[in-house]
Amino acid sequence: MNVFKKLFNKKKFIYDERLVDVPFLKKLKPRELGLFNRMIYKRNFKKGEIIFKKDYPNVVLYFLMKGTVQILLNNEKSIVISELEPYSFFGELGMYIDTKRSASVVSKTDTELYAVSKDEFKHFVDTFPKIGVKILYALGQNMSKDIIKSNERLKECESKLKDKMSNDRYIQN
Amino acid sequence: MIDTSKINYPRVAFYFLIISLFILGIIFYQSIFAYVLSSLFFAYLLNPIVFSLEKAHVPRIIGIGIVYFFIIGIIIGIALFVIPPLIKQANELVNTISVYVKNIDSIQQKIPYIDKVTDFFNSLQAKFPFLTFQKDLANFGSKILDQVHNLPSILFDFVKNLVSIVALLVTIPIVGFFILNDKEKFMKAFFAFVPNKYFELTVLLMRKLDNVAGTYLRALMIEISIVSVLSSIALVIVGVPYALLIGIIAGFANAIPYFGPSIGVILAIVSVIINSQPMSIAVYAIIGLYLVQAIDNNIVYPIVIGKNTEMHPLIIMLTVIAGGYAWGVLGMFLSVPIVFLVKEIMIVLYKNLKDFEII
Repeated sequence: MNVFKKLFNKKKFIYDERLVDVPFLKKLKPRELGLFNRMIYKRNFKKGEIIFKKDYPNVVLYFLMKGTVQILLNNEKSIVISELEPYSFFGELGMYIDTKRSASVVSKTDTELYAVSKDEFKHFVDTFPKIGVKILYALGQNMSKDIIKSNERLKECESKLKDKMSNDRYIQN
Repeated sequence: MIDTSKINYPRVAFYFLIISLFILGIIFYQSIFAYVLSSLFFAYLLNPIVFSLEKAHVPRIIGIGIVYFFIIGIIIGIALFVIPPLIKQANELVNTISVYVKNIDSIQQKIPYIDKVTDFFNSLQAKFPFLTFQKDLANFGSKILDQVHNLPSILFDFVKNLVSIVALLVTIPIVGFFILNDKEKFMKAFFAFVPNKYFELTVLLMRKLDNVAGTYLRALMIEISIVSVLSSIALVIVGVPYALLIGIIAGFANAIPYFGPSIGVILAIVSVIINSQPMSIAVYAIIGLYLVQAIDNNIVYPIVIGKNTEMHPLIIMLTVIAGGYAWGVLGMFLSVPIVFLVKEIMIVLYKNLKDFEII
């Protein structure tokens, strides 16, 4: 009888409390978080371990729960585009377009990641559209912020380049 | 040369221990594999219903309860209304067949063409001695026929063997319940064993397996049910003896590509002949089953299974024959889906092993 007691008495919605801290899951209710939690696979990576490489198939979306990861433009020891802190996510491009990984990701410290299969995520959004809208909206917000950030960086680069070019011309003259 | 100084002996020993435990586990649990597989099959069929109830805010455990309640209802219905006439028909059929097997000559007298067909094959054999197809055909035919003949007795053994039925009836829903309720927990436990390097590849493969096997199994069950019901109705209307039994067999046989649909027709004709009914009934039965086929091919199959299996007809045919040789009727039934599943998985595996730079 113990099994049945366990089945019926268990907490109604089981999820990792830390999920509430993930920005785009903030608006979800306990039931919705419980449903979302089912899709999560916990992965631990050691310092320096490659999470995925550029041009690998886009299969999984990751949430960073602990540690720091580096996003690299190319493979292994290339330019670091950015570093991500806990409760951010990466690998979300595959959700929207059918492409290969656009960058490599390496764990800078020992990290704990939550992995969600792209297909399961899509299926989840299809089946629970109300929850899906909340998540997709927050994802879109996040991506918009990223675009604004990269635009600003591009502007910076442009002005630096202009300065350098005018300097070079000055030296030539 | 392998540098022996670099071998991590404790690790090797640990892996060896794990592999040994795995093999021992398989040996220890082998007798319940059939139960677990059946339960998986059972859970697979019900999962979409439980999931759609969950979508409508019905907690999963209650959703499973509702589905189980309906299934029990259906089982009671089948036990009350379908099984008694089915057993009666099977019983009668066995009696009729055994009478006819005793005086096999009278069948040849009733069907004069059988002699001519045999003569034709004999003359072919005489002209081309290297052809052994007559023997092969006879072997193949007798293998299949054996199983068809055994079908009623298998059914009886089944009924006799009450213990295993009870075990099956009790185990499958209970194991199925836990699979339905804790599917994600099992998946998480499985993935915890997968190294990071192979994680994404395994996610992909599991998804493919789930997709192909799940879709195919559910579609197959729906198609079998519809064709069984339609064939039974058609045969009852026409007035073929043992209509229900033949209809159900035709529904299952229909899942065997190319050869399947004709099994129902052959059984209907045989039933008409051995019961000394007018041949016109056989003709109507052929027309009726043909109509069922037309409905299946043009309406049921495109809706339920949709996409074609994308295998060359010749390969499908040869696979069915090979399946028949290997495991008889069951082999004919399962060979194409299994080969299709393996083919699909291998394509995904090969492509992604390259993409993930594993090979």
